[in-house]
Amino acid sequence: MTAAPTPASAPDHTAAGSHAQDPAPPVKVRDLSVTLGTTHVLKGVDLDIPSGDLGVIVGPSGCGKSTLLRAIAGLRTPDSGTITVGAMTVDGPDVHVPTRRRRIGWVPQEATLLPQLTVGENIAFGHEGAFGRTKRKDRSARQESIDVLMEATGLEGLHDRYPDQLSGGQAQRVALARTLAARPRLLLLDEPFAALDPPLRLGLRDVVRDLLHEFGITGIMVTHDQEEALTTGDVVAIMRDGVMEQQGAPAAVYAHPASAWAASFLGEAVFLTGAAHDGSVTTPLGSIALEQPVTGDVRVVIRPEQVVVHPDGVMGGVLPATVTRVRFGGHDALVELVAGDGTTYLSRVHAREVPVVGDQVTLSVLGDAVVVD
Amino acid sequence: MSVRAASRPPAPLVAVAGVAALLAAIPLIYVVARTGAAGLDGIAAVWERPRVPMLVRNTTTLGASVAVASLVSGIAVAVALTRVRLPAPRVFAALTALPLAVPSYLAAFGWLATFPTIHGFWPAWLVLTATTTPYVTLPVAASLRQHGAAHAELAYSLGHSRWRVFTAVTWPSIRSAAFAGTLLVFLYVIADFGGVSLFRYPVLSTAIHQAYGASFDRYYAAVLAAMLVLLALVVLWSERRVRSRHHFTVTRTAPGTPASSPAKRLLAMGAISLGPVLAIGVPVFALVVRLLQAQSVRETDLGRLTESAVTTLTVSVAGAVVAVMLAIPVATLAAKYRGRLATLIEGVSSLPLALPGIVVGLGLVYFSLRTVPAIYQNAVLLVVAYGIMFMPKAIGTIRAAMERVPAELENVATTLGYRPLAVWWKVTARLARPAAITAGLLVAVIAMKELPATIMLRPTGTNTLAIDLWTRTEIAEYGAAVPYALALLVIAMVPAIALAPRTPRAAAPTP
Repeated sequence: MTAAPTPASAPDHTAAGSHAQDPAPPVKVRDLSVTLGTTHVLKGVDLDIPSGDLGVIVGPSGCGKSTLLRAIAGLRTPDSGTITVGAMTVDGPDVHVPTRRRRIGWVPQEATLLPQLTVGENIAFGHEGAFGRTKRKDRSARQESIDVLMEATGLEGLHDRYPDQLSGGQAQRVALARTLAARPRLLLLDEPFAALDPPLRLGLRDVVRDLLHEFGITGIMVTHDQEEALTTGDVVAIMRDGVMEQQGAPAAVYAHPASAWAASFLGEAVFLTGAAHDGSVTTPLGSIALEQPVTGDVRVVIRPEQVVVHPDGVMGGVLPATVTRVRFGGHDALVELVAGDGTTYLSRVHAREVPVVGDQVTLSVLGDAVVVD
Repeated sequence: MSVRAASRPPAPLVAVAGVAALLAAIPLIYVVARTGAAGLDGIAAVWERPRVPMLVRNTTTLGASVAVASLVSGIAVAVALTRVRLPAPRVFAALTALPLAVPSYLAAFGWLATFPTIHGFWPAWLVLTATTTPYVTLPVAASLRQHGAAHAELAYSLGHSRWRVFTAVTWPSIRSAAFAGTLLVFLYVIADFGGVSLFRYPVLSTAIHQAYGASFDRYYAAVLAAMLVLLALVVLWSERRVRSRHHFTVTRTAPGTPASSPAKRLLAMGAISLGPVLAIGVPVFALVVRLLQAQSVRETDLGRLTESAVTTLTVSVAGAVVAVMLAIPVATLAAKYRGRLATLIEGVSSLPLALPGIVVGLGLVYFSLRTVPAIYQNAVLLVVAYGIMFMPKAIGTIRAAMERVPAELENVATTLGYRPLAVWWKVTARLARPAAITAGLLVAVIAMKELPATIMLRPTGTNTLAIDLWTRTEIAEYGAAVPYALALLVIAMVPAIALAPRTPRAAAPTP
C-alpha cells in the first residue's frame, strides 16, 4: 500500500507463465453511486475483497450487481464514491482511470469472441492489449505464454478453430484465457456461467478458482444464483435495490443473515417469534440461544437444518406437528410440517430419515437463532 | 404430410412464381437481345463514338466517389447515432433516414432554384452523397445496435487503444453491413437519372435517354444500357466476394449508454444533421422562398396540378397492387421451401434491384414493340413497369413476415385437417397480410417519385407530378415547378417518418 500508483507498466512478457509479478490487490469500494439515465442504480455501495480472494456479488436481477462490476472495470463512470484496486485509486474525486489503463480483466456472460479470429488469435488479442504488438523476435515467447494459458484452461488442440466451431463451454474458456493473457491484477466475471449447462458450470467454476490461485489474481464474480454464490465465493456480498445488504464469508452470511430478506434470499428460512431475555428467546420450539443481547418480543430466524424431527414415540421433541409435504432432494429432503396452531415449519432431514406425509412427529431446535426485524 | 410439402414446392405455386420471375427478367432479356442483334461490329462502333468512353468514365467516377463518401459519412453518422447519448434520440434517428425519401431530382431542384448556375460533377457528387448516405447509415447503425458495445468494452478492458478497437472489433462487425450499403449507393448513383441530368453531368443513364429520343441509331441506346447493367453486375459480384463469412454474435446490450461530453454530443448532432440539411433543408428552403414570391402562386395552374396528382396516385397504386401480387407467390416460395428451383426463381425476381429505371423502361419499350404493340404508350405498360421494378422490395418485406410465421402453427393447422392451400390462406397469408399492405404502400410512394421509366413509358400527354417537376426544372421555370415539388416532398416525407427506425437503446435504461 506504500507504493505510488503505477498504471499498467507493462511487465516483461517473457515472464508470462511464471508467477513472479505484483501480488494480488485487495479491492475497496466506498460509497459508490451510479446513475443511468434517471435511475439511481447504485446508492452508496461499499465492497471489500481481500487480496487474492474470490468475491461473489449476488442479488436478484436489477439489483445493480452488473453495474457495480462495470463501474469497477471503468465501463460506467460513477457519480460519487471511490474504487481502489491495490494501491491505485481508479475512481474517486476527480479521478477516472480509463478502462484500458486499469489492467482489470473482464469476462462477460457471452464469450464475445472476435469471429474473424481463431482461438489462438483471440487469446493473442488479449496479450496484445496489454503488451502491444509482438515483435518478430518475441513471437515464440508470446506463443509459449498462449500455450500455457490454453493448457491451464483445457483448450489443447483448439488453437486453430474459429469461434463458431466451439461449444458454449469452450468459448467461455477461450474468453477466460484471452482475458488472462492480458495479465490482469483483478478478474471480473459477469455471470460467466449463466448460459452453460449445470455440469459444465461446476467444472468451469473450479477452473476459475484454480486459475485465480495459480496466477495470483483477485476475483469478483456476479451471479443471481445464491447456491453458486455460497459454493464459489471466499466472500459473499448480497445486493438489493442498489444497496449492499450484507457481506462476509459464505458460512457467516448464511448463519447470521443481516435481515429477514437476506435470510430468505440465501436459502430456506424458518421465522419464529417469542420473548427474549438473558441471551435466549422462548419460542413454540422451545428456548433458543441468541447471539444478540436483546430483551422483549422479537422475531428470529433459524435454518431448516436446525429444526430436528423426532418420530412418534422418540423422546426429545418439544412441539407436536404433522408432516404435510416432503420435497425429496436426493442427499436430503425438505419437510413441511404443521403444528397444532396451524403454523408451518420447515425441516431439512437426512435422506435416510425422511418421514412420510401424515406422520405425527415432534420438533426441537439445534444451535443459535438470529434476531431480524 | 406437411414435412413432405416443406421439401418440395407444389407445382401451381412454382408456376405462378415462375411467371413473376419471367416478367422480372423481360427488361434485361430484351436489352440483351437488342444488344446481341447489334453484333460485335455494332458494339464496337458504339464504343468508338467519341463520347462513350467519357460516359463510362463519368458514370464509374461518380458512382465510386459517391460510394466512398457515403461509406465514410454513413459510418460516422451511425457511430454518432448509436454510441453517443443524444437528446431526443428518436428525432435524430428519423432525421438520418429522411434523405432516403427525397428523390435526387427534387434535391437537385432545391439547389438549382437557390443557385441556378451550379452544374457538373461536384454539385451532383454533393447532392447524391447527401441523399444516399442513409443506405450506409441504416444497416451500420442496426448492426452497431445489435452487437451492442460488448465486444468494444471487452477490448478496452484488455487494454487496447481506440484505434485498435475500431480496426479489430468495430470495423469487422460492421464491414458486411457497410459494404452492402455502399453497394446500394453505387447502384443508386449509376442508375440515377434526374439528379445528374438537372446538373447536366453526362453519364450513361442520361445518354441512354437521349439516344432513345434521337433514334438515328437502332442499337446505340441498347448497347449503352447493356454497359450500365454490366457495370452494376460487376460491382454486385465483387461485393459478394468481399462479404465476410464470420458473423458476430448478437450480444446482450448493457443498460444505458455512458454519458457523453457536451463537445462530443455537439459534434455528433452536427454530423447527423449535415446530410439531411444538404438533401432536404436546402430544397425546403428553396420552396419556402419561392412560395413567398406571389408570382409563383399565380403561375400555378390548379386544374393541371390536380390532374397530375390524380394520375400519379392512380398509376402508382395500380403499380403497387401489381408488385404485391407478383411478390406474394415468390415470397411464399422463398420463405417456405428450399431447393435450387426456389433459389433460382427468387434470384431472377430480385434482378430488377440491379436494373436502373432507365434500362427497365428501355427493355419494356423493346418488348412491347416486338410482342404487343397495342400497349406501347399505354398506361398499362407503365403500371406493369412499376410492378416489375418494385417487386423485389415487396418480396423482401413479405418474405420476412412469412418466415416469422412459425412452422408449428402451420403443422397444427395441417393436423386439424386443412388442405395445404387452406393452411396457406388461413395461417401464412393471414399473418403476412399487414406486411403485404405495408409493402404495397411503400411501393406506391416510391412509384409516385419514379422518373426515368415514367418518362419513357407514359402515354403522350399523361403527366405525373415527377414529370411536371422535371420538365419545368429542365427549362429553368423554377417558380412554376414549386407546387409540384411541394406535393412530391409531402408524399416523400410520410413513410420516411412512419417507417423511421426505432432505437431501443434510447428507451429508459433498465437497471
